[in-house]
Amino acid sequence: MKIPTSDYFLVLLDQLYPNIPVEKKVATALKAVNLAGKYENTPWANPIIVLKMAAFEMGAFEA
Amino acid sequence: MPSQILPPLVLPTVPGPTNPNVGPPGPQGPAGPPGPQGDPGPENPLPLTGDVTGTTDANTVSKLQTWPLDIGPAVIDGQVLTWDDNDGYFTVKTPPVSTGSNVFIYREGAAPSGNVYAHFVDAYNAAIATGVPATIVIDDVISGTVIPNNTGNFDLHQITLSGANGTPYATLLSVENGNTFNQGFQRITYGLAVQYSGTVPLGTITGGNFTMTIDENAFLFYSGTGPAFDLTGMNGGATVTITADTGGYFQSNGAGNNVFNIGDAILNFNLYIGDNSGIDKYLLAASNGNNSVVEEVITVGAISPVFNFPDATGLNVPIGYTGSAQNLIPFVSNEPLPSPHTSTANIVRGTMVFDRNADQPFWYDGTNWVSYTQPFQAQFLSGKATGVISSPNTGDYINWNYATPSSANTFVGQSTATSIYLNFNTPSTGGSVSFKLTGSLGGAVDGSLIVYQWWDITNNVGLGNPSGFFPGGTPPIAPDQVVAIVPWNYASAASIQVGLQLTFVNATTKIGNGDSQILPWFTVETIGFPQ
Repeated sequence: MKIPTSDYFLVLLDQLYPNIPVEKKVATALKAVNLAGKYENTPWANPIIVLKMAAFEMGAFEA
Repeated sequence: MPSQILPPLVLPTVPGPTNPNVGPPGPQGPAGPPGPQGDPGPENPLPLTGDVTGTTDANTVSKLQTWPLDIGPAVIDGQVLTWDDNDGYFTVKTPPVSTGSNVFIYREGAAPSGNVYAHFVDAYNAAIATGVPATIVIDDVISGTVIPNNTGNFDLHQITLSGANGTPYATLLSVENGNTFNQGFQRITYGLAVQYSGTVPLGTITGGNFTMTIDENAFLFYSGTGPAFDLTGMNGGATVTITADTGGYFQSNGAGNNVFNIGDAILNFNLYIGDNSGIDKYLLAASNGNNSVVEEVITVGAISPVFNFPDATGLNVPIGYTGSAQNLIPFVSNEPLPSPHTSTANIVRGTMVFDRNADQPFWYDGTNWVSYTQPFQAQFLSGKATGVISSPNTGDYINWNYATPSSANTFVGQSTATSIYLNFNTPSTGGSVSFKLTGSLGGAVDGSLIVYQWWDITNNVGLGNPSGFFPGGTPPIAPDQVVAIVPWNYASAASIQVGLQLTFVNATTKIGNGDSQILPWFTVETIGFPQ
């Protein structure tokens, strides 16, 4: 997997989860970049799953 | 209220008053017809980009621009389109269809209807109430699917967790701290990723045998601390069967944060790694001195770059490798393979076959991991073991004697004796042992002899009891021909390391014809070894 930029993840985040609080979006995108780099050589890594994982880890789904 | 017993009813010739008493409830009637199919859910709100009216082939409805426009699944005319990163097409996937009353859909943010639930726990309660194997489909198309903090324990031993549309590694179920799968899980499948990031084990599994399967491009992603599954309380001798197949994957969180920890438990731990599937090297941990049996079966299609033998730090196990692929896939391990050299067990299960084409360090010589520059290096303790040399080239070395590897032991073209030692530790109780020696020398063999005797590795002296030789010359010894049954009696009460010394003697100038046709193969198998 190529490691996307945080800007790419921000765009993808708006598409996947448009209701995530704004203050958590940047942190989530940066976390996604971090995870993408950490797991880029695994067979399962792709931008969508990495972003979802980042969103979970940053508490973006919490009310 | 206690049930009432009605007196016998005598029918009057004239209708009497209605008996005001109410009898006990009758038996439950037959089950009603199946309920209506659940809400199929909203269409994916994600916009499609690119041409969606383009050419159509067998499984492709449109061609889009290449990544990074892969934005996840979308639905057109009832067909779920998922991005295939391999060919750059959106591909039609069949959405999950209920096969009856045992499929339940957890769709976060959805209005509950039919078999669709807005919370995992509700879908779980419906599934577990069936009492039979059931499936919970995880659908995060509206919002992230999460099992919130401290929801409880989920008995998933009969429950399959499935992704929503089969897109590889695309649906995520996040499990927060304080939730447990203490009965493991039956299966994670169909593109689902289950992520757990807790600080306590996701599962503390006790009792007897259990199995877990991850397949169809699904994976377990563990990002917590400590083991994801604590098996230390399992019954001794229980069998754990872990399967990763058709794109399944177990992802640990690195050293110390393994997927499984067996601790001091003595288990039969079986790993099956299938096509396009893998594990990472921190799958398994155990305590020092653990003599569990770990067996690993790898198919030809396993993902070699991600196949690492689990870094079972401290695991002191007799390792057995079985499976059809063992001769086909070089061991491409990023870590040295554990050596039975340090094993204290009397049994080595299975057969070990090493391919010289592997280019990674693979063996521990008791002190250091030995770089794999030799065609073959053998150290076997008790039990059955096999070594193979395939097509050594001129200039290759055979360091058969692990204690004193030396380039002087050049095999091809050598004119002096070369010895190998297949080592094992004698039980401290003394006794007797017999070995069946099976061997072959492929290719042209030029006047060679193989002399064998027992050798005291500890004291570096030959025991000479018994000794004998393979005949050389043509024709070669056929593969797997039983050459000798080698008994040996010993009375020592002290455990010493002894080896079956096989010495190649070339009566003329060389063994083999010098053109990479030397294919010795030996099997040493214990017979009647004291257990």
